[in-house]
Amino acid sequence: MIEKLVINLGRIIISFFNIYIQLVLFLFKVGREINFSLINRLNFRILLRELYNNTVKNFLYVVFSGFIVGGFLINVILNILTNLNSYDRIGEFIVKSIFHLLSPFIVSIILLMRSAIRSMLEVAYLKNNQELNTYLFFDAIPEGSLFLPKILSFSISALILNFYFILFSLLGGYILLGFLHHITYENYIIQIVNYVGLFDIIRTSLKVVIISFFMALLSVKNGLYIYSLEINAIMKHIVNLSLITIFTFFLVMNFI
Amino acid sequence: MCKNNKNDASFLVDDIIVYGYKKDILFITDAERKKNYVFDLISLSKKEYGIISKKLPFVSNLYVIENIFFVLIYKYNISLSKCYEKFKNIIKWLKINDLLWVYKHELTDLELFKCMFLRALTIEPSIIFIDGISEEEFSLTMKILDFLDKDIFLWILAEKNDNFLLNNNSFKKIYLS
Repeated sequence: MIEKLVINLGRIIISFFNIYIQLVLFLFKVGREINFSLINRLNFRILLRELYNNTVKNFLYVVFSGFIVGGFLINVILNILTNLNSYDRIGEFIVKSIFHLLSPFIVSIILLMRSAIRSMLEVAYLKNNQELNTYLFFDAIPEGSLFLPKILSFSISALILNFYFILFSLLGGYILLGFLHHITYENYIIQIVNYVGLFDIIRTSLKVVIISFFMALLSVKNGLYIYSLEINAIMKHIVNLSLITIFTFFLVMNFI
Repeated sequence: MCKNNKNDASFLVDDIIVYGYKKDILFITDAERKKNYVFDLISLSKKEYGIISKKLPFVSNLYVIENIFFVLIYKYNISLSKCYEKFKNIIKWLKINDLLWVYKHELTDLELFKCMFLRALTIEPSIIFIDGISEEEFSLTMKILDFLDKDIFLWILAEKNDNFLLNNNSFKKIYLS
């Protein structure tokens, strides 16, 4: 009984880490096509379309969530800090909470829910309806002409959306603060600018790029593993994709 | 007429060589065995053949125009506008101008056939292979070939109950059992 338990537990843990090994192998396979693929007109068109899908279509969600989260968070931080008589440290708290944690997390979640799942289902649909045959028949390698633009577009979109999230959350925070706490705009900006440095910007960008790259890679690879377009089979993969992405996000957070 | 008893591409090649390579050929089989022959016929020589088959569908995440000029854009890196200019006459004749910037699921069967025919023409083939064709599509195909006025031959994989094809005497008939 105990032996079985240990074996099963071991198998689950090994298969979990096996996902990362498989992803690295898949990355090498896709990376091999990077030489010529983006020069090609068809691939470039696909890259632009994916950029539109991931950036423009998610833009409003990022703006709204930025406003609401920024407004709420900065209000809470300000209340705590004024109670502790540490108002002068508001810049540090805002940068740490928004730049380092909330912005990468919320942008990743929006990309996961709206783009990664769509991307996964698109690949599954192409595979199950034999449309990948068309690519192969015309000597177009799907790794270079379909998957690579998708994966690259995720990283670029995440970078752009992260920038806008930060911008609108700071704006949302100020608008709320301006009404509730009568703080001047100048004071608010000075507090943030005094603390924020190049390192913070690099750190937030790196986080969001790494996690979106991972998410895109996982969504494309999972899409290739969906053998049926029935809702049961799809849901299993959607849940897997979401859980592994969130787990990996917090793993990345610990290192960067 | 010829009959062979094995599902093998080499027998098809033998038959084709015996009856002549560049001819209008009708491959006749029953519905169950048809799918076995599709890949055999497709794989004979993809460079020279334009292929219209459900086994090579349009890609659903590309626009119809990108699907039509897939080979030209991808392999030869030609811009869409140049591709369009090159095939402008046939596009106008087929009346598919309005269908170019939509996705494939918005097309009817006949519209899809027209677009797939155009995709087959883009590689400037000497033979067009069609895997299954309705009477309406067949008459349209003949009209297109008349309009083009080029030496393009048709290879059609048909079923035994496609009487409109069996009654047509302009095709060499090869029975696949």
